[in-house]
Parts: sequence; structure tokens; C-alpha cells
Amino acid sequence: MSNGKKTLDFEINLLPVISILAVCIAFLLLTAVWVQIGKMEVTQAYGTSGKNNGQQITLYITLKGNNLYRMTVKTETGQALLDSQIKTAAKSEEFAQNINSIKKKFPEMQTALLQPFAETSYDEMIQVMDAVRGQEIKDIGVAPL
Amino acid sequence: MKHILDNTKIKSPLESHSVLNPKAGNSKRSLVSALILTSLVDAFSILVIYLLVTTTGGNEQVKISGKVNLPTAATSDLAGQSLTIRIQNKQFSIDDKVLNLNQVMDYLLAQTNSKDAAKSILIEADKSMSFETLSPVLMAAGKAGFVKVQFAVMQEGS
Repeated sequence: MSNGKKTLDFEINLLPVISILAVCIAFLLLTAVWVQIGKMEVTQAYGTSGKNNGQQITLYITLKGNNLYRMTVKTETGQALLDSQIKTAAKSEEFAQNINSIKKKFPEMQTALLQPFAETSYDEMIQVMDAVRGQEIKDIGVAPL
Repeated sequence: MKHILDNTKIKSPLESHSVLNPKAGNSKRSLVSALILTSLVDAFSILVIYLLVTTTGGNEQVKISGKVNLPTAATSDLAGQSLTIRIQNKQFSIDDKVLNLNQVMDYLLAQTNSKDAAKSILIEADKSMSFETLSPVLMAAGKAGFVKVQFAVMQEGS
């Protein structure tokens, strides 16, 4: 007995769809950005945030080289509120904790100024900036030689 | 003894594209196994959507020279288009033009006076560079009136 019924099923040919998708993937793989470039911003003339009874408090970090850093906290009038030294890598936990403890002592402090020496490497300066920014000190300046 | 092929149907490509019902009435088993392409299409679609989102994330792209080894930082923001000064082997360049310090200063002064002035400078330098090479650029930027200076870094984790 012959079957005279026609099927109503519609078959979609998926091969062209897969070809188009493969071409799209190849194109997007070539044009995708895999590495993001970031920026660390410094202000040449730092601002007026972090007032303490009308006086701005600033953290001065002197990069002396050989992982030796001098941390000084001064008011706008030049009065030193804290003066300490630390010898550790800028990327270390100890350095971050040191800045964190200074920040806890002076919670209004929002400004920092880096004073690198001539031999200080650019990478070290960036690491110090990174550590300072990590402690919520946003206004960072760099003093030229 | 019957050969296995006697009981097996081998489809021809032409026959399988037939609009009308292909030859019916045979009890032979088909050797052709159907590939389920639906999941492959799903996987490809997801890949395309992911790559589309990654490529067109709305971030401006910054051109960085391949020879420069940027320092890494964890707390950096995404860099956008700005006036880029490249410092390589103690030489300064803007838009691939090598300039001396006085020319950099003149260029920056001209920028501040122009209508389409860049609001900030992006400094692209190798991580091994010493600060004494960078310092004159900072001073020139300050004298030209650029208050904000940005340092290009690689985002940690990227």
C-alpha cells in the first residue's frame, strides 16, 4: 500500500547558519580587545579636600630607593603630625597596612604627595600610587625634581 | 550468507535532498547517523553574543606601542582618548613624532591655546624608566597648564 500523504514538516538547513556564525566568531576574535589599558591620574596642584578644623592634611611619601620610604603627615601650615620610615616593597601587604594605619589615624586625609628621587623607577612610583589609592586616598600628586 | 550491506541502505546526497518523500518502502537500516546541529548553533550564538559585548563595550581604545612595558596597577581606571606622550629610551614622542623637551613644551602650550584642547595628558612609559626622565615632562605639563596628568598602566588581572 503506497502512502499518498505529504509531510508538513519543514526542514531548516542549519549548515549556512553555522557557516555565518563561524565567520562572525572568527572576525570578532580578531577584533576583540583582550587587554585593558588603565590610567593612574595625578593632579599637578592638589586640591582642598580633607580639612581638619580648617587645615588640610597631606601625606608626604618620599621614595628613597631600595624599598625605603619616609611617610610624613603635615598640615597646610607645615606642622608635622607624623613622621615614620618603612623598609618594604611598595607592593607588599606591610606597605598597604602602614598606609591604612596612617589613614585610620587621620580619616579626613584625602591628599598624598609623592616625592621620588631621580633614581626611583617609574614602576616603583606607580606601585606606591596604587597602594595609596587602595587606601581611599584619591588626590595624589607627584613632585617633580 | 547475506552481506551486511545487503541489509543496509546507503543514501545518496541527491536522494536525501529530494523534496518529495524519498524512496519509501524499504526496510533497510540507514548507516547515516544524523548530527544534531541545534546545540552547535546554540554554542556559536552564545560565543558571538559574548564577543560582541566584549568588542563593543563602549570603551575607547588607546593605542600603546608594543615595545613599551607598562607597569601594572590594581586600582587604575580605564584609559580613554587623550593627548599621549610616549617616553622611550629617554626620547619623547607625540603622535609618533620624536620631539625634544622644548618642542614638547611648545606643543603642549599650543594645545592649551587651541579650541579642541585635550583636557589631560596620558604618559606612556616603560616601567624601568627612572623618574629623572619623567620629571621634565611633568614640569612641562604643569607650565603648559595641564593640571591632570595620567599614567598609562596595565590593569592587573587583564
